[in-house]
Amino acid sequence: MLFNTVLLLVGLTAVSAFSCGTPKWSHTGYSTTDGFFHFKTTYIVEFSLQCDSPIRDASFYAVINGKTYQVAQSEETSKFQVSWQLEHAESGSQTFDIHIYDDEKYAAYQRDGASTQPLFTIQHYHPGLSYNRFFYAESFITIVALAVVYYAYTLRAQLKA
Amino acid sequence: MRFIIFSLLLVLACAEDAEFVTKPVLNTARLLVSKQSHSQYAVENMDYVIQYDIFNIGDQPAVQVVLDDRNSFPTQSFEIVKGLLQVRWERIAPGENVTHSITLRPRNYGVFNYTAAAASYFPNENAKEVRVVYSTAPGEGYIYRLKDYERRFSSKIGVWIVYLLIAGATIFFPYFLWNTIQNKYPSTTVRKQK
Repeated sequence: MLFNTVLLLVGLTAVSAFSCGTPKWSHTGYSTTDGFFHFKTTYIVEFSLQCDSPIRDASFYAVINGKTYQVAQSEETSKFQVSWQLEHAESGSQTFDIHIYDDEKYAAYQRDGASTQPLFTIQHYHPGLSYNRFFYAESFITIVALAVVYYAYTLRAQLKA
Repeated sequence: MRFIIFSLLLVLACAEDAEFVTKPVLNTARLLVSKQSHSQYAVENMDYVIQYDIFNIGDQPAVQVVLDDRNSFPTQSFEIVKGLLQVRWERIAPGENVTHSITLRPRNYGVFNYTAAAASYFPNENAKEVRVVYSTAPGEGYIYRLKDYERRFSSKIGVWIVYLLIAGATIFFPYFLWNTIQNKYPSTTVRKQK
């Protein structure tokens, strides 16, 4: 009897990692598109998730281009947020694949690497950056104005001669 | 020569012998929270990015870390474009760090005092009491008018086109008149007869 209860308790503690059954999810994303105004390009993806069992004491992990980020969970709503930052040079127009893993799947990912199937994948499209590439109109127009003055001066000298 | 001796002494003074200097065992998690802006300026109606970095410099995992910054950005001053202001991470392992970003849009211009965010966590797995730590506060900053930002940074190609039209008119109109007269009356060089 004692042995059975001990075995039961051991079994319960072993299943402490959260495993999401069939996830139902929806997402929205935002990324900054100004390459001059911000120091780095920031990407924010918010998603809401529903699993078979209520999500409690569960952490989720996001893997984007080989890097792992811990997913932040909102206290008030059932929303999650993944945010990451990249340099402007790496932030051309592209679609990011955000693989979401729950505790169990993430442990498998740490063992097996990229071949593990994520819980689900979010695709975030980043339209690219716009730069304030200043075409220095002042310098260009000064040069053109000087050229016009030079031409007028030589023409005047020619006519006078 | 003196520089070499001085730099050698400096290196010796800074070198730590691992046997004699040991890191104190904290036996608790310790979180440092940094809050900084990732945009050059704060301009009304333009994106303003704030990033929070949480570092665990202790030797125990921080459990149930809650970052709360809802008081810093009242809705009449800022519009939240994307990002959640109150978030939770289940565990931050010792030595691990997490980052969290939000994108805001200031509604008004003027001076704004960016205050600190609060983070609460359990210092180890078995802790019963929550510990609260405050992030760095960026302090007082100025939110510029959109008009002023555009006056400085927008490409003023429209202004230059108008300038060229007006300057062109003052140069080419007299030239055109002169050219008409020139073609009408070809110049004949009249030499003074000696």
